[in-house]
Amino acid sequence: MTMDERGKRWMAYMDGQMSASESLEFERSLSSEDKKRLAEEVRLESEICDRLAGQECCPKALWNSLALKMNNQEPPARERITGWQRWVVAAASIATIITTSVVLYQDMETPPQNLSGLEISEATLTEFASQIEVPGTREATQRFLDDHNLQLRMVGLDSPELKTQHPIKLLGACMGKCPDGAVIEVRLTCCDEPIKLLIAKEGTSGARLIEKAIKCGTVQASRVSDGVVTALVGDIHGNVDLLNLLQPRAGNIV
Amino acid sequence: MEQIERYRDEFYRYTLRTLWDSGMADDVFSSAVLAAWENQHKFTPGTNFRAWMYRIITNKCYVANRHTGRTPAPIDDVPESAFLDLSDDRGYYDVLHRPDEVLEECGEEVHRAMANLSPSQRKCLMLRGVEKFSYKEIAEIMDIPVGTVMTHLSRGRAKMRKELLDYAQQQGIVRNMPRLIPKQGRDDERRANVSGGNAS
Repeated sequence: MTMDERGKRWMAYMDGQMSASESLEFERSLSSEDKKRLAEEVRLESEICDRLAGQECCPKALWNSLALKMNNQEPPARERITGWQRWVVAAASIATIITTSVVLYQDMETPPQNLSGLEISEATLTEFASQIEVPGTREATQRFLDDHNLQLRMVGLDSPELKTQHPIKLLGACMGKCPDGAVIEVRLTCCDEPIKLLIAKEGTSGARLIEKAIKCGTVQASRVSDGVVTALVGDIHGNVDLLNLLQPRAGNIV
Repeated sequence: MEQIERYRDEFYRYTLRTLWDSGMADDVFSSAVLAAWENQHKFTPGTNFRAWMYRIITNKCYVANRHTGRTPAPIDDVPESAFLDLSDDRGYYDVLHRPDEVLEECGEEVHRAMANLSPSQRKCLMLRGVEKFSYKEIAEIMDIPVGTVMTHLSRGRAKMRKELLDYAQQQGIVRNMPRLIPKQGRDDERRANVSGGNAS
């Protein structure tokens, strides 16, 4: 039994998630020291949870406003806007949209065209897949990463961390289309929708480009680990952290 | 509505602990409650109402985090066995022997340690430790496999204990003594004793 499996069994026992026979078998495998430690862990966990539970209550004002909305089963009647008022409201809405867009655009540190290469701009999945330089196997993709001196280890899509009901497929890897910096892309699909992982060494122009993309909201999730920046572009369904697909090399050493 | 009202405080606390931002928690909680109210016809009577409601809140929290551009906390390299490895640290025995006193002295650090976990780890810890859902129910609420729930729990607990231990050692709440014999040395010693005993 590996240490990870042992850790999980301890958890399951502590949480009372084992069947009676599993519990009995597990108890037999424990030394008296282990049993003592387990009892203490249970007590510590209970103390932690008591503090996490806290005493906060839903604010009264908040609940009252919600209760009011729920009690009014019919949506509140809107005041009818007619005639010239309609045109004034429309003009005000357009002015608000334009002003907001201008302010938001000015807030961005970089003109968006620099980052367009990092976005998923391909109209079709075929187009998205056509730019791939190495085939969609784990081995080929790993070689591609190695060739670019990226200290990353690619795990299988069937690893427990990446398990989801939504099918994820590996299409392959390629160089990104960013003239300003070298970014490696691992391209995938989730439920036949294109997604990609961007990879660059920390401190390079590629990494700076990814950082800008994070600020602009192009990136859904990102991580810096062992000198490598990885980022996810595109919508992943289900609650799975696709960045776990690429692990630092150090993690390989047991 | 009666059921929502009955559990409203626990639903609110879960939202608060998951998002760790009271302003955002109010909005997300309101949005979840109204969504549940509007979709009450989709709830199957006789099934677990709390689990159904937690699923709605969890989804709303997920969407809220995505909209605000929050990225998941960096995934650390904490192995799932880290929880067991803590026993190598002398100070951890102090924590285990008198958890109530140590946690009392740590004060708000418990909440800070919780805030430093990834959103998934926080959700799993809250749903299991505080709300007492089974692994299977948590998996259904979060739409992830049971194995992943266990991984989040294992790593989250290990990370939380490690942070509390570090803090307690820094503050002198527990003894900060180095191991007298390195683990490798102890193992070698034990092996030598066993083989010596066999020989005699």
